[in-house]
Amino acid sequence: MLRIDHLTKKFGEKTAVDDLSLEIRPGEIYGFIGHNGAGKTTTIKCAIGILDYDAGEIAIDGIRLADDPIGCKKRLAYIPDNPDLYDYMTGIQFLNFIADVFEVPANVRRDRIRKYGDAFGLTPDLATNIASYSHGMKQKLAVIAALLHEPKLLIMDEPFVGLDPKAAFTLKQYMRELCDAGGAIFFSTHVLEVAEKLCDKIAIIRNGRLIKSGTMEEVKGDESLEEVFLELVED
Amino acid sequence: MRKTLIHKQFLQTVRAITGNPKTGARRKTGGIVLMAVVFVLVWISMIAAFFGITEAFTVFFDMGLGWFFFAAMSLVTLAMCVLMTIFTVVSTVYNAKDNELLLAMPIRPKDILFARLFQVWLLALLFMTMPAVPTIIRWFMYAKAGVLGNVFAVLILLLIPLLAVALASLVGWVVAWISSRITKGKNYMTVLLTTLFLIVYYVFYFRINRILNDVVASGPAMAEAMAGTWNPLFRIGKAAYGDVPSFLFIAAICIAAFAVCYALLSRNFARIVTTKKGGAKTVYHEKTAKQSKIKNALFRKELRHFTGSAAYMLNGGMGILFMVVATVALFIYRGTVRDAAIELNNMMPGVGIAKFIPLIGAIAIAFLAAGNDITAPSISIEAHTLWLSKSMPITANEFFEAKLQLQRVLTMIPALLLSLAFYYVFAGGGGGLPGLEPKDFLLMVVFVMLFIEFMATLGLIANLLMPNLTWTNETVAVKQSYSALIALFGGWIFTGLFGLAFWLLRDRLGPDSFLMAASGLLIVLIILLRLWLRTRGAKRYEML
Repeated sequence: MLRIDHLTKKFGEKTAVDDLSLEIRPGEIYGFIGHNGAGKTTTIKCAIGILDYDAGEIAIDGIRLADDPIGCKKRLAYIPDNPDLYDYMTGIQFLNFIADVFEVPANVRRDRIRKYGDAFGLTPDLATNIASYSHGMKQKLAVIAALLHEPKLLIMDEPFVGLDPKAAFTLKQYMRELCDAGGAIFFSTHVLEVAEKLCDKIAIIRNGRLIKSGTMEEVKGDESLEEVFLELVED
Repeated sequence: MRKTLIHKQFLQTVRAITGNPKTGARRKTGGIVLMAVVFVLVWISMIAAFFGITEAFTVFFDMGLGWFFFAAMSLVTLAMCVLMTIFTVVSTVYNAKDNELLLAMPIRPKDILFARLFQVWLLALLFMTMPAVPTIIRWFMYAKAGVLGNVFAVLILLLIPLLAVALASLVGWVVAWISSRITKGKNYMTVLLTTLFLIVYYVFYFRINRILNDVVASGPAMAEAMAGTWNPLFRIGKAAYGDVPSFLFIAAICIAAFAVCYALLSRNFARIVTTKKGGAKTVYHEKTAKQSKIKNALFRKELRHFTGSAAYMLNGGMGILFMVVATVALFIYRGTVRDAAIELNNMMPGVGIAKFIPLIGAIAIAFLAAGNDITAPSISIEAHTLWLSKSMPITANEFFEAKLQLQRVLTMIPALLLSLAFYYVFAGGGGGLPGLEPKDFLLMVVFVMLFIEFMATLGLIANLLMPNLTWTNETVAVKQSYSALIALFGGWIFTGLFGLAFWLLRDRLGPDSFLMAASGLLIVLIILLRLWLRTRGAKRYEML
C-alpha cells in the first residue's frame, strides 16, 4: 500500500532522512518510532506529498507519488501531530468541506459524520467554531475528517496525543477495522506500549537512518520494545 | 516585586521595538535608527498640528479668558491620552498573554496590575506631550500667570495622564468585557465599528476648522456659565493662574481617580482576566449537506476565511467600502456630480472633458477597486493550515483559482454596480455633455473587470513570491507584508500610469481607442501572469 524506496531528504546541509526504505502492505499497522528530531515527521510529510524530497521513490497503492500526486492523495488520509485546522469554520463546516474535496456523496457523508461523530463524542460540538475547540477536540475532528472518505492508507503523526482514553480506544478500534477491510496504517508514536500492542510491524529511525524494521517479533524478540528501542538509539 | 515586573514590562516593550516580530532576532541598527527617526518625525508633526489648534484658541487671551484656553487644551490633552491608550489597556492589561502565567506565580495581583498600569501611564505621558508642549509654550507666552501659575500649569498637564489611565482602564475594561461576551458576528461588529471610527475621524479631520471656529465662537458663553463655580474645567484654568485651592482640587481629582480605579481593579484583577464567558453553545442539528464541486467548496472556504477575520476584511476589502460609498453617493448626488462635470467641461472648452468621461470613469472605478487586495495575503494567512491544502487531492491551480475567485466576486460585483451608477449619472447627457452610450459603458466595464483580474493575479503572485508563513498574529500577515503593499499601492500606481499614458498619447489615441488598447494590454499581462502561475507558481507552491 505504501512503498518508500531509498528516500533522502535534506534541509540545506542537514540530511533529515537518509536512504530510507519501507514497505507497508494492505492489512498492516506499521509503527514508526524514533527519538525527537530523528526524521519521523519529515518521512511522513514526504510520504503524503507535502514535502519534496531529494532522492528516492514513493508509491501509494502502486501509483508513484511523483507521477500522480492527486491520485495518491485521494487514496490516503493524514493526521498531523498538531492539528491546526480552519479556525474560522465550525466543526460540521470543516467536515463538509473535507467531504466535498474528497467527493463523498451527501447521504454517505451524513451517515459517516454521525457514526464517527458519535463514536468520538464530538457530535454535540459540531456546530461550534473550531477556534473554541480544545487540542483534544481538534484532534478528534482531524481523525473524523481523515476517516470520512474511508482511505486505503491512513498516515498519522503522533495520533494519540491529546486524545482522551475513550477516544484513543475508539481510534485503535477503527485502525484495526480499516486494516481488516484491506487498508493500511503508518503512524509515528513515542508511546512504545501502544506501538507494541497495536502494530504488526515496526520501524525504528535514528538520525534519519532506518536502524531496524520488521514484524514486532523480529524487532524485539524476547525483550520489550522499550528495551530494544533504548539499546538501539543509545548505540 | 513591582520593580521586577516593571523591568519585565520594559524589556517587553524594548523587545517589541528592537526585535523582529517574526524571528525574535534583534533588528539591524539601521532599522532601529530608521524607526526612531520616523517616530520622532510623527511626534514633531503631531506637536505641529496641536500648535495650530492652540493658535486658534489664543483669541481667548485677548478676551481675558486665558483660563478657558488652558481648560480647553487640558480637555484636549485628556481626550488624546484616553483615546490613544484604551487599546493598549485592553491588550496589555486585560488580554495580556502572560496574565495567567504571572497569576500562577506567588505575585500579588495588584502588583501585576501596577506594573501594567505603569506602562500605560508612561505611554499616556508620551501622548500628553503632543498637545501639552504647544499648550505650555503658548501659556508661557500669553498667560503671564506668574511663577506659581506656570508651575501649576506644568504640574496639571503632568497629572492629566493619571486621570487618563483611570478613564482608559475603565473604558478598556468595558471593551474587554463586551468583547469576551460577543460570540457571533464579532468580526462584522469590529468591521462596522472600525469603519464608523474612520468615518468619524475623517469627518472631524476635514471639519477641524469649522469645529475650532465653533468652539471659539461659543467659548465666551461657556466660560461665563462655568466662571466662579467648582466646575473642574474652571478650576483647571484658575489653578494654572496660581490659585492654590483650585490646584489642590484638580490634583485631588486626578490622584483620587487613579487610586479608586487601581483599588477597584486590583481587587478584581484576577477574576477579570481569567473569566471567559461566551454566549450559549450552538446546538448541532443534523442536516443533509448538498455535495458541492471541489472548486465551489474551495471558494466557500476562502469566503469563510475572509468573513471570519475582521483584520482580513478591513485590510483586504476596503475597496468594497469605497465602491459602495461611491455608488450610493452617485445615486444621491447625481445632479451635483453632473453639474460639476458640465462646469468643468465649460471651464476648459479647448480640452473637451466631455469625451473623456468614460475613460475618467474607468480609471476612477479601477482606482477604487484597487483598494481590494484580498489575494495579496491569501497564502500567508494559510500558514498554519497549509498542510491541509497540500495534503488534499487538489492541484495548485485549484488552490490558486479559489483565491482569485474570491477577489473577483468581491470586487467585480461592487465595481459593476458603481459602473451602472456612473452610467445612470451620465447616460442622459445635457448641458454640453454627450450622453454615455452603451458602447462607452461596455468599454468602461471591460477595462475595469480586466484591471480587477490583473490585480488579483498580481497580488497572488506577489504573495507566492514573498509569503510570511511564520506569523503568530494573523493581522501581521494581512497588514505588514510586502505583497499587500505591492498589491495596494501597485494598483493605485497602475491606474495613475494609465491616466498618464492616455495624457501622453491623447493626440494619437482617442479615449475609446485608448480604453481598447489598455484592455488589450491587460489581457496580455493577465495571460503572462497566469502562465507563470500555472508553471513556476505551482512549483513554488509545492515548495512552501
